Parts: sequence; C-alpha cells; structure tokens
Amino acid sequence: MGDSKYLTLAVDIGEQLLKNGAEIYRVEDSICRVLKAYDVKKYNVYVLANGIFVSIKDEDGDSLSEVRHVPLESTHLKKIVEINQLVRDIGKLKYNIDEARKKLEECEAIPETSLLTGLLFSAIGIGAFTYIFGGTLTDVLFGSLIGVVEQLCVATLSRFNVNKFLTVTFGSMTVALLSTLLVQIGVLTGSNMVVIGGIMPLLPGVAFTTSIRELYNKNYMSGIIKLADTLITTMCIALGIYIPIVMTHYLGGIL
Amino acid sequence: MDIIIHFTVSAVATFAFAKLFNAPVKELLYCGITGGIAWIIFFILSNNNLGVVLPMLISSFGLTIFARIIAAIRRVPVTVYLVCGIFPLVPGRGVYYTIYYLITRESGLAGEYGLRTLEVAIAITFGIIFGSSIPQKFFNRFNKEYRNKKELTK
Repeated sequence: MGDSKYLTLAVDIGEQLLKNGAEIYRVEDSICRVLKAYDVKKYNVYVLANGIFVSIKDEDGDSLSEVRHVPLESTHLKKIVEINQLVRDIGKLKYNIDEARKKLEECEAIPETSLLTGLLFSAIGIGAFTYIFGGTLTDVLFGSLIGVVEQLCVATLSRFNVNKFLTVTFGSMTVALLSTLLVQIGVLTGSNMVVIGGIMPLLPGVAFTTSIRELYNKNYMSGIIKLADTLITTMCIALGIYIPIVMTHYLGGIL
Repeated sequence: MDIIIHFTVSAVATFAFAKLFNAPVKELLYCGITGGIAWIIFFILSNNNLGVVLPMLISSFGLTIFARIIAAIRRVPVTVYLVCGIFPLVPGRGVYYTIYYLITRESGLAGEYGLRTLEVAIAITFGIIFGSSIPQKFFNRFNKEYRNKKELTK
C-alpha cells in the first residue's frame, strides 16, 4: 500500500506538466518514468488534453487509481523545462520521494512574468510584427501603444476570471476600436496594419501547433480538444474585429 | 539587406513573445532565432513569386526541423522552440482581411482571403506533420548526452 504516495507524486508531476502546456506524450512518458523509477510493477496511464487517468497494481494485486481533471491554462515554458529535468533526475534515481516532492514544489513556485514586464515585451513584440507585416513607422508606434492597452485589458479580465473566449473577444474589440478611432481623428491613414499587429498575442498559434502534433501522435481526442479551442478563439477574434469596424462603416466613418 | 532587417526584427518579435510565454531566460535567444528563421524562409520564398501557400509549407517544415535540432543540442523539450517559432507564421492577416472585406461587402475578396487563411492553416499543418515524421534518430546525433551514452554502451 506504500505505492499510493508514488502514484500521487507521479500524477502530480503529470498534472503540472499538462497544466503548463506540455504535449500529451511527454506527460504520459513522464508519469510512466516516475512510476518505473519507484519500482511500481504494473501501471496504466491515459492522458487527455484536460484529464489524467492512472491506475497501478501493487504486489498484493490491489488496484489503486487516480483521476485528475486538468483545466486548460496558459503556457509556462520554464516550468515544463524544469519539471522535465526533474523527471529525468528521478529516472536516474537521484531523489527519494520526499526530495522529489520538495523539488516539485520548487518547480510549481516558479513565477510568471510580471504585468509590467509583460506589457513592455508585448509592446516590443507587437511593434516588431507590425513592421515585418508591412507597417510604416507610425503604424509600429501606435500599434505598440494599442497593443499595450489591449494586453492590460486582457490581463484585467483574466484577473476577474472572465471566460477566456470573452476575454479574447474584448481584447480584439479594444484593438479594432482604438485603431478605428485613431483613423477617424486622422492620426492613422489605415487601421489595417495596426489591427493585424495588435491581434498577434491573441491568435491561437500554440493551441494550433499542439493540436496538429497531438493528431499526428494519434491522440485524437486531445487533438480535437485543442482544435476546437483554436477554432473558437479565432472566431472570437474575428467577432471582436467585426463589431467596431462594422459600426464605423454604418455610422459613415472612414475605414 | 532587407533580409537581414526582416530576420532581426522577427527574431526580436519572437524573443518578446517567448518572454510572454515564460520561456527560461537561457533559451530566449534560441527561441528568437527560431522565429527569425521561420519568417525569413517564408519571406525569401514568397518574394520570389511562389505565392503564399507553398512558402508557408516549406517554412513550417523548416521550423519543425530547426526546432528539433536546437532541442537536441540544448537538451530542452521541443515545445519551447516550436511554440515560439510558429508566431510569425500564424495567419493574422488572413483573418483580418476576411472580416474587413465582409464588412465592406466585397464578398469576392472576402472569400479569397478566407480561402487563403484556410490554405495557410492546412499548409502549416502539413509542414509540421512532414517535419515531425523524420525519425528522432536523425536528431539524436546532435544530442551530446545521447552520443556519450551511445559510446559508453558500444
């Protein structure tokens, strides 16, 4: 019956990896490696994009299982790298159960990028993308500013736990609204480049890539879950762009 | 000259977004380089009159290959570089212009951009699939730790 703490550790590690955006095969492989390192004889692991199911059989032939529902969260690459390293070290039998647990807690405590740093890097990223997509220097400048406002809006909405799809819709609505306003005042000649740059952080690039890789690896359910996420997010962005621009168009403004 | 500017700017942009994804500081530079390479392949090919779809296919293929090589060299999961490097390729323009032309009632152009967005998405899909289908053995030669283990067991 001592195996239950190894099971809990393995599933905790898997949950942390999954929450922070690791691929399904990596999560399954990590859970298996941890269980194997602690000498669990029979185990079965099944991971979905939003759930983990593990059952083990100990020496007496009794079954133990754990089920976790893991809601989709945001990507945190450093945590994936650190937990991956932890799993490698556990595989080399470097840690006993308590040391491993402590190491896992250290990995969980890795901080996210602070709001201010995030806004600064958003401004740089959005400005740079606006440039390479063909924007002029004015577009780049205002694109960065609008991008910062949009990221602030998205961060505030997420803080209040607003539904992710609504957050994305309001974010792209902010971008489109501000850029059409600037066109009406006459500061910008066209809102195209500014909006294209501004929606860059909202576009579901990571969800799209991971869904393709999951489908390729025959994790069809997980691939379809992420594909649905991609499609709905894209539609939300499209809706957010649509509303301010159609209002401007029908109110007779300059597009 | 244009190529160097575009490479640097897209590398900086990917670097910035990698930070937003909380990438480890040591890998930020390589994430940026991956994004730069993905964009520059597309830029060079599409400026040579190959359209948009084929350059997207080739650049997402190149991105996957390069990400796997760097992941093997640095001994870091592939996700880190792949997720950051895909940023320049995502079809934001297609989405925007589809909506724009729908609003201005130019359904021909709206349909054209909508179809193009779909084509780009499919091209990126197959670029990643082809890139992922190369067996891991080919990339393991870049992994120092793996090579050392192989020599010990010989």
